[in-house]
Amino acid sequence: MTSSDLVQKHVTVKLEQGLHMIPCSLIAKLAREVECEIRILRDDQSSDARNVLDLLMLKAEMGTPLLLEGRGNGASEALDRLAKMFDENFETPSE
Amino acid sequence: MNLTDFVVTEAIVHDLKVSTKEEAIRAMVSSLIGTGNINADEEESIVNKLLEREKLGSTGIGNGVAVPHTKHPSVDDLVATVAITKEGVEFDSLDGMPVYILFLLISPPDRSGDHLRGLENISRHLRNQKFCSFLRQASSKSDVIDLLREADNNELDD
Repeated sequence: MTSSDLVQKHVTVKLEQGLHMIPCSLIAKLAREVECEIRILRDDQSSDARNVLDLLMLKAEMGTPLLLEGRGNGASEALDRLAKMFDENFETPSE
Repeated sequence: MNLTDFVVTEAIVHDLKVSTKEEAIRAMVSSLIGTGNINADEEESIVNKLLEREKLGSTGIGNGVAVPHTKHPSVDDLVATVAITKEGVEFDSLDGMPVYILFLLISPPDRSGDHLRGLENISRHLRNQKFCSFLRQASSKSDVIDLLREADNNELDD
């Protein structure tokens, strides 16, 4: 696999209050730590995972399926970490 | 939902002069007490809830903006105010940079949907670089109010 390959992973929002500001900040924090570019897609809408305001615009409520996309060095590992955060419900209280 | 539906325009602070996150939050809450939108007896309780929320993760979400928010039983409706600081204030922001534009929102606990809609509304406008750049240049409260109205009317769209 070359660093320009696109890696994709499907996740579902399980948070009762949807993807609110705390989980969005946690996603953006991770996306800023890694070398690869990560985008999160809801249908045709695509958000830069480093940008909290962009992520909030997905308006992803509980049950919303999302597609994670990573491109660049370490994309596969980064997406695994991100998918785990979704899976573990971000271990965070609601707003 | 429009910004001017829930931002108390009289409580806007266009020249906030503070040096810490807590001072910024206290000044904004105090401004809402001054306009009668928050009961003075609830000041400490509201400030503490806002600060507790910050401990879960800063609402300084990068690009010089912060959106401190909480729910509190003492308010009957969404209540918000805006503050602009020319010098910037450290906010433990995601990008490590100071914050210049603050939107503070307090909602009744039983209005989760409206609370999220209010945050979404604020966030949507804060993505607009023109809106943020003009807000930072605002030299009076009425400048800020005009900008909120223009944003509500989508007059600042790129």
